[in-house]
Amino acid sequence: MTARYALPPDLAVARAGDGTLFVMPLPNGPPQALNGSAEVIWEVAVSGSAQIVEEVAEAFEVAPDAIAADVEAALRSFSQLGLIERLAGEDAS
Amino acid sequence: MLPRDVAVRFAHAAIQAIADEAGITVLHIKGPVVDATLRATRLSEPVEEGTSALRARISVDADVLVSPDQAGPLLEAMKRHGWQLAWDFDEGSLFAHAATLTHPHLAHIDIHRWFPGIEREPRAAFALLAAGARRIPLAEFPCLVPSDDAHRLILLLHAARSLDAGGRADVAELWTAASAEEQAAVRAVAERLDATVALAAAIDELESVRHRRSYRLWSALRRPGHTHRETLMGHLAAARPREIPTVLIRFLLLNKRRMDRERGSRVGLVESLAGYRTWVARRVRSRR
Repeated sequence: MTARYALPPDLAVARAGDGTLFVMPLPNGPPQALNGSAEVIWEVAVSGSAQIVEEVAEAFEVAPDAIAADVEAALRSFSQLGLIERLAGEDAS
Repeated sequence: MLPRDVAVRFAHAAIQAIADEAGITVLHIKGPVVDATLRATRLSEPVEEGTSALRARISVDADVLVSPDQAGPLLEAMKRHGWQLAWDFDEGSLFAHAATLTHPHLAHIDIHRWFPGIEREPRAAFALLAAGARRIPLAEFPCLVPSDDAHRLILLLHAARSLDAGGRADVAELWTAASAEEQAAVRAVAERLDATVALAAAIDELESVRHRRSYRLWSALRRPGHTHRETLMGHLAAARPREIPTVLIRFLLLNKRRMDRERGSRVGLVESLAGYRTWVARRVRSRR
């Protein structure tokens, strides 16, 4: 079980006409595109799931153990960039 | 580089976040706001066979309204967050209504301290618009927008001076296709905001307001290919006597600033007046 996250209230989110997902911490940015696995991990994270690794593994049809470290690293990076917000009282383990 | 539609939506979200932080009320208008409100139902409808899907509006910038007494503080707040003033309020048009801000990543923002066509005192007009406003998500961020009736009116007022640049399509969609109840509601807002002349110009009822001071201005603005001279004469006819010197000074400064920008350096007053004399002479000759 991973920590649970939510969409930060000060994050702008928009999808371009070609389907690319863009996010930007408000008010100053910078804006950035989330592609491929980053988009999937972010989408699962802001859904509030408590099974982020498992859900991402299922999306890519791989074993959770095979991607757990990469998913955790991505979550840390998103958190530092203000793209996800850890829900209060959630344990990182 | 951000796709244009994303850059516009992020610009809306950014200025709302900055305004919230500064305690300033802004109202988002035009562009993606129209798709998210007035066109939302039609955009979400399934496309019937043999018909083409309704397309999202294409915008190159984000537009917001602010009370004139909050315009200065808003510009300062935006500058503190990395936005640059490209055009100040008195540099864009004789209406002196909008300033343009630019950002390295996001779309330009036009900040309107009043909206051409609304003749009620700007602070009172903004208060009326803000009273009926609500928040909707733009780029998933809650942004304040006018009521649908007020927004429909604003778009029609804009269409009245851009009939040859998409304005006619807006009139067809926002007025001709509107129900009798929607049209009545727009007329009621126009009465409260004293915007009946510009509305009449948009919906082809201008002769019904021929007695109004601003009739000549909107008669000129709605004509495709109207000249600077016609616009100036319209502004002078619309102005109260005490406002005429302001209009003339604004006109001269507008031309001087255009000359400054074309040259890339400041033009002296004498040269500016000489340029103006040449401009007037050319206009007079062209009308013979």
